[in-house]
Amino acid sequence: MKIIYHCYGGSHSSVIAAALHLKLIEKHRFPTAEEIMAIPYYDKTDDSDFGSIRFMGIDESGNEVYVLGRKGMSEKYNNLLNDIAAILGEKENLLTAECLNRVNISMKLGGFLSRRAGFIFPGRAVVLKGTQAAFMALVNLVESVRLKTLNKVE
Amino acid sequence: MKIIFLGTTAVHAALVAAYIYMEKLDKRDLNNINGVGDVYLEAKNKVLFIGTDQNGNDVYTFGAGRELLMVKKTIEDLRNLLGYKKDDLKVVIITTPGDRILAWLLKIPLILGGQNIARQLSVLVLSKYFDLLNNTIAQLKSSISTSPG
Repeated sequence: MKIIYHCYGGSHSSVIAAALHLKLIEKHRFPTAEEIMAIPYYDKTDDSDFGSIRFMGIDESGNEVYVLGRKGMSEKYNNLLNDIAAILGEKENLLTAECLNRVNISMKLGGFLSRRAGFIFPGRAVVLKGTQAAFMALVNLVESVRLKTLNKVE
Repeated sequence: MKIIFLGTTAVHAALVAAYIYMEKLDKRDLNNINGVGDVYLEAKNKVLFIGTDQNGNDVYTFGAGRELLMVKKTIEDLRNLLGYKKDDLKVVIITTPGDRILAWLLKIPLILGGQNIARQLSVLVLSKYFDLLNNTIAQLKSSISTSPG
């Protein structure tokens, strides 16, 4: 199965969720700033990455995990991804997860400053703080996605 | 093959292009097109199935707003990662100079008769760009027929 975590920029919340899913970071404790910055794609994307479905890894069940930045088109993109999979007869082979609803104001502000406005130094500090604050909400999201993958397989 | 006509909205230029492509328009009367300018249909934010052409290809439309290139990239990425090729699913961007006006028509409040006004004005605006859409589809058809395989 293919699992796509998506958020506004595909740079913060979706990347953390994918990293949690792939166990690149532990879910039982808050990651340090260094651990977060070591995650591929975290706060490293630019405008050309919008719309690109980027591979993050394969989980222990053989599911491929991807991240995607889709700007403000949340519901539309959920529908789009699932409709395209259905058109191709692959509906059961795709799971999408919206991450932006787990994000706090610090992640939004820091992400904007770092990725959109180009103020990497203050932006990155704010988004890292926000990521740590939103961590448990993202853990919950990933756990619900893991449950869904089990249901889909069954 | 599946063909997705990607427009600013799913119910204007992309829909007319789909009908022209399927050769389902008898004349230039765009009033015969099911769902043209339909506010409710657009609000579903779904990929719309429009019909099947003479060669058995399924035709769809989708409204991508201002992010046509981003949405095209995503659909093609998804197609590839699901193991399909260009010949299985083709994405065609359809634009006209009237796209901004047409998108704005969807914002007319329903309480003021938005649905009817939007439909009638949409037909009026789209009629103006019929030749442009016709040419776009003619080019698409020739590119499909000349592509290898």
